Amino acid sequence: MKNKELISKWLNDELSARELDAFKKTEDYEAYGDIVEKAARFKRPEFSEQQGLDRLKEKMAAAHDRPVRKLHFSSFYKIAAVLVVFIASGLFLFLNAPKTISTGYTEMASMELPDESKVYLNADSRVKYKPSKWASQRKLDLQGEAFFEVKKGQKFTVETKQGSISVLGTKFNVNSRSGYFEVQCYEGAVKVNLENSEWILEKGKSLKMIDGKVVGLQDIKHALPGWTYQESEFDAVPLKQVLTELERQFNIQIETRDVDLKQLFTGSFSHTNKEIALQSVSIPLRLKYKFETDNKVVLYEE
Amino acid sequence: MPEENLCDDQVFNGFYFKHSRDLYNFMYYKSGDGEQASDFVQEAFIKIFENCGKIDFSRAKSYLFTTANNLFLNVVKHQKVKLTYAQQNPAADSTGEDPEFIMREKEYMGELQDAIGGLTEAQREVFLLNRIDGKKYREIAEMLNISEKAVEKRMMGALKKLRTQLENF
Repeated sequence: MKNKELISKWLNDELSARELDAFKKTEDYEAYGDIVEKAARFKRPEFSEQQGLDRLKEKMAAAHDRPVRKLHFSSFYKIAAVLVVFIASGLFLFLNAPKTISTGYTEMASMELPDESKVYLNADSRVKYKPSKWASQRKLDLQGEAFFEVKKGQKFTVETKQGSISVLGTKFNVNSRSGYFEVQCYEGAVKVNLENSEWILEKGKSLKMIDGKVVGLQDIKHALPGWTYQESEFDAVPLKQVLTELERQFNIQIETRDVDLKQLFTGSFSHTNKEIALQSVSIPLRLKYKFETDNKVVLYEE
Repeated sequence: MPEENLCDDQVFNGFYFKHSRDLYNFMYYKSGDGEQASDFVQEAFIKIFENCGKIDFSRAKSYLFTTANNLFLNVVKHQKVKLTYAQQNPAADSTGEDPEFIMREKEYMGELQDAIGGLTEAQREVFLLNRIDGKKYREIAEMLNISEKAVEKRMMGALKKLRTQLENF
């Protein structure tokens, strides 16, 4: 950027015709002209004001009709007293109870832990931890797949069926499913303890285990796990795992006929459209699919 | 002139027609999800209506945008934003644009689309409000409740980042 002031004026539509002509001959225009002009071609969905207003009025009317009952002052105190007792005993139980967050098929969730670390949960997954103990021990249980953004601090441990992952502060993804286990490190470094071995994963590396056997270290291609932006990605993953992920993301059942479920699939599918997602998987493997019912799919050899 | 009061149906409707589209676009550039954007718009206006007696009309716009932004921050898990773009005017084809040019163009737009998706939310909303909606820095600053200088800074940041992403073109 040579002349920021001029660029800024240009973007804010403040240049006179003559100034604009002169500007178009500069290096800055050569560098940024295309971006700025072509970006204006993008569209956004149409918005209908009237339709929006009609809907809004409906909602407002519904809210208005809700009856409001006023409490008498004396009964207010009675209720308050009862509440205090409930809250006090509830609080005790609540503080010591483990907290569980889970997602079903097609769902995703995100949550913040007491130390501001973040967890993003993929479909059909669960994490559990004890808020009361969090300050002294950052540890949680995971079933399924989650992406973690951990604040720097003392050891942070994720326990899974296949092994435990411990870090000090980084970003990483863990996928722990039946017959499949993968840890991907997106920042910093991660230690993975499996039954018989220990691994240190550095930024950009992933460790994969298929049916209890470690496949080895691989490179990660993207800056974030695909599923966090609605895309499931696979790099040499058994077809069986790919199909169960399809089932989870679209709440469908997939049945296969004469299909080798152990063959490895490399590719991705988007969570936005199930037909396209099925094609993204079936076409490269030369498979066909058909819907038997709305949510039951059969996959077969051509 | 009497003070305008948002509890008045006509005033409220006028307020809605004046700002709903801008708010919708703003929320769309943030979230990349049309349906979600329109939900945020609805909720934000309901909040305004619920508090109509308490809000000074002159500050209502800023209140509206701030409310929508807060609603957004509360729920959204950040997803990748993908915009669609207008295809080349079909007439352009017949003027002898060769297929290679059209292909390159398409490639470029795809690349630009990805790059815009990769901007930070703060950069993207400012950049798109300026580029697609043709908003001036002053108008954007008012919507976001930040200074014009900050808007300008985000624009420059966005531009630089897009440029590095599109280096190969």
